Parts: sequence; structure tokens; C-alpha cells
Amino acid sequence: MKEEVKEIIESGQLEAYVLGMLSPDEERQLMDAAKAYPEVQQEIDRIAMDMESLDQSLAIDPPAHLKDGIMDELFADSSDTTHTIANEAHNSKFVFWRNLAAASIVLTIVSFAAAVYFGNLYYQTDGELQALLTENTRMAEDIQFNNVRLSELEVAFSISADPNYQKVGLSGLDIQPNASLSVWWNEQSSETFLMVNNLAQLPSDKDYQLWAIVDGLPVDMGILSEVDQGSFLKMNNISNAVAFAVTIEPKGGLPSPTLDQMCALGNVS
Amino acid sequence: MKLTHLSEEELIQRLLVKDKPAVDYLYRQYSGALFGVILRIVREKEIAEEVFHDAFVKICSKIEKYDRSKGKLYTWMVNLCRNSAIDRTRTREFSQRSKTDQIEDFVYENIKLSAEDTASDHIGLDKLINELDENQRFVLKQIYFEGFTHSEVAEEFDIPLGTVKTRLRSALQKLRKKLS
Repeated sequence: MKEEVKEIIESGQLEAYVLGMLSPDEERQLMDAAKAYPEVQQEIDRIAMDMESLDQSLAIDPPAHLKDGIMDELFADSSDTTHTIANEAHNSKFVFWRNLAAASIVLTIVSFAAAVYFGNLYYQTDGELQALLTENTRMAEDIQFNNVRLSELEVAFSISADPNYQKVGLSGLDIQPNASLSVWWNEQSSETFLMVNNLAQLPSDKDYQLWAIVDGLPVDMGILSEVDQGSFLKMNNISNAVAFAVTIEPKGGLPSPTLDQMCALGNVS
Repeated sequence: MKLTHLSEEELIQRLLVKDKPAVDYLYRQYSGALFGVILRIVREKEIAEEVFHDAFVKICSKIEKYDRSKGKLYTWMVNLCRNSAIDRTRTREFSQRSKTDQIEDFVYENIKLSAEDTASDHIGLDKLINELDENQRFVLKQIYFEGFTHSEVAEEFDIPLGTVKTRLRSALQKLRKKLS
């Protein structure tokens, strides 16, 4: 008997039992033995106490917040729950309006910023548009000028290319030795053009006047109110001219030339 | 109101009616021991906290399942905690564990830690465990601190089941002498 008890105790089966590691069958057998032998039960109790004190000596306290969580879970009563739910309902309503208010403020700020931005953009664009319009006008004027100039050059080109026109060079006389002009004369059609190469500017009360010499007499060919170098100026038609001359006359010209004011002369070859 | 001493009988009676001061007393008396057991098995603090939370709530809410004829209250509680911890870790743990594992360091670390923390009469418990022979120390660590069963250790490390059992017993017997 005593030997059997000792064997059970020394087998290590009791420790396994206290650790809850026996199968149900083994457990039942051991419970029977414990009932039969008080020494076995005593040893079981002792092992349990040993393990408890071993665990206590190795205790590690859990963090403090764990206790609150556990107590809350165990003792959250119904009135607390209702209160919490009511609070949450209130909170969710509050949160809704608060979020709505926040959203409105954000929207206002964004709208204002957008207005300022697009306002600036408008004024900036408008300024740019005005500048472009001005530029456009200026370019249109340039084009207009160039078109006029182009048609003049076309005329000049066609005249100079036309074999029916003959060029009569007019050279400077004493009162304006540097004067230099040319008359382009179509003997058949009588059309006459004048081109200024070099001619001094006149005071505002004077004009240059072109004359043709026909049968020994000067014939009025028209005045040059402005000295415009390089362009062909259409003058009066003339037939049978033998020479051309330019005089300086009072503004508007005279019916007959002032001979001592003759500044350029050229004979038809 | 804090309870300072309750007999196990009285404690159980109060717990059965969900007496708050009794739960508070239970927590103060046993949370450290139980948390230590769980932490040594799961090894990670966060997981240990979760396991402990659930296990302690279960102890209090399922106290009627405790069968006095089978053992002490603490034994029931610690086995519930140990099983919860094992459930949480064992599936991924056991197969990955190498035979030359590093459990040793971990166990000693915690023992040292707790010896300092509790400022108990058992300072030098790591020394105590070191005084066990290697075989005893190994089985104690595997089963008592890691929560492996006798048969798991027997199979995994090719030790006869009876030998595992007697080694654990002799290890605990040595500790008993030292602790008393």
C-alpha cells in the first residue's frame, strides 16, 4: 500500500495533474487514488501551493490601465450604458453640426480665395488684351504704310521697267548744286513722273515747282509740296518737252517760273 | 472600500454574486502571478495584455464553472490563463521552435526582472534555477514556464514520457526546498 502511494507521488503524475495536463481518463484514475489515499490528496494540495508561491515570486504586475478596462467590462451596468448611448447620440448630432460649420467656413475661405484669384486673372487678362489691341492697331498701321509703299514701289518698278519711259536726269544749279532729281517721261502717252534723289528742305512758305520746256517756253508741271525721296510723284502730262527744270516758288507755285530761283535742270536726250 | 483579507471560501461566494470589492481583491492578489505566467508563454507584452484581459474577465464571469473538488482556486485560474496563452500562441509556435532554442535567455530575463520588481524574499531565484541540473532545468522551462505538455516535450525531444514527469517533479521538489 505505502509503496503504491509513494510510486504515484514520485511518478510526477500529480504535478501534471495540477498543471491540468492529464487526459480525462488519467485524471479520473488520479482522483480515485486521491480519494483512496489521503497522502496523495495532501501532496496534490502541496504541489498546488508550491506552484502558486513560485508564480507569486515570479509575479509581473500588468500595466495599470488593464485593470480599469477589466473592471469596466465586468461592471458596466445598464444605466451607464444608456447614459453613454444618449451621450453618443448627442455627440453625433453635435459632431454633425460642428463638421457642417467647419465645412462651411472652409468653403467660404476657398470661394473668397477663388474670387480674388479669378478677379486678378481678369484684370491681368484685360490689361493684356488692351496691349494686344494697341499692338494690333500699330501693326495694321504698319501694314497700311507698307502697302502704300509697296504700291509706290510697284509703280516705280513698272515705270523703270517700261521701255516707253525715258529717264531725264536733272542736275543741281548754282543756288543748290547738290540737287539731284530724275523725270520719267513717256513720250507716247505724255505721262510724267518725278523722282527726288536729293533736294534740300524748303521753308514752309516755299514749294518746288517742275517745269517742262516746250517750244522754248516753260509749261507748269505741278508742285512738290513735300520732298519725299525715293518715290515717284505723278506730275502733269506733257508732250514734246525738250528739257525739264525745277524752281523754288512761293507756296502754291506760279503760272510762270522765277528764273533766278531755278535749282535743277536737265535736257531730254 | 478595499478588502484586505478573505478566505478562499468567502472570496468564491462573493465572486459568485459578482461583488465588486471581491473582484478588486482577486485582482490585487493574483494579477501579477497570472500575468507573469501568461507573459512567459506568449512573450509579447501587447499579446499578454490581451490574453490576460480576456482570461481575467472569464475567471470572474464564469466563476460558477470552478469545481472545488478538483483543486484550489488559483490552480483553476492559472490553468485557464495558461491554456488561453497557449491557444493564442501554440499553433504557430511549436513547429517553429528549434531544439536548441533560446528560451533560456527569455526565462532568466523575466525571472531576474520579477526578482527585482517584487523585492520578495526570493531574490536570487535565477540562481536557484541555475542550481538545478541541466535536465531538470530544461523540463521545468519547457513545461512550467513555456506551457508545453509532458507528451509534447517527450515527443519533440525524444525523452521517455515517464522521465519527463519525474524530472519535472524533482525540479519542483528542489525549488520547494529552496523556497520554503
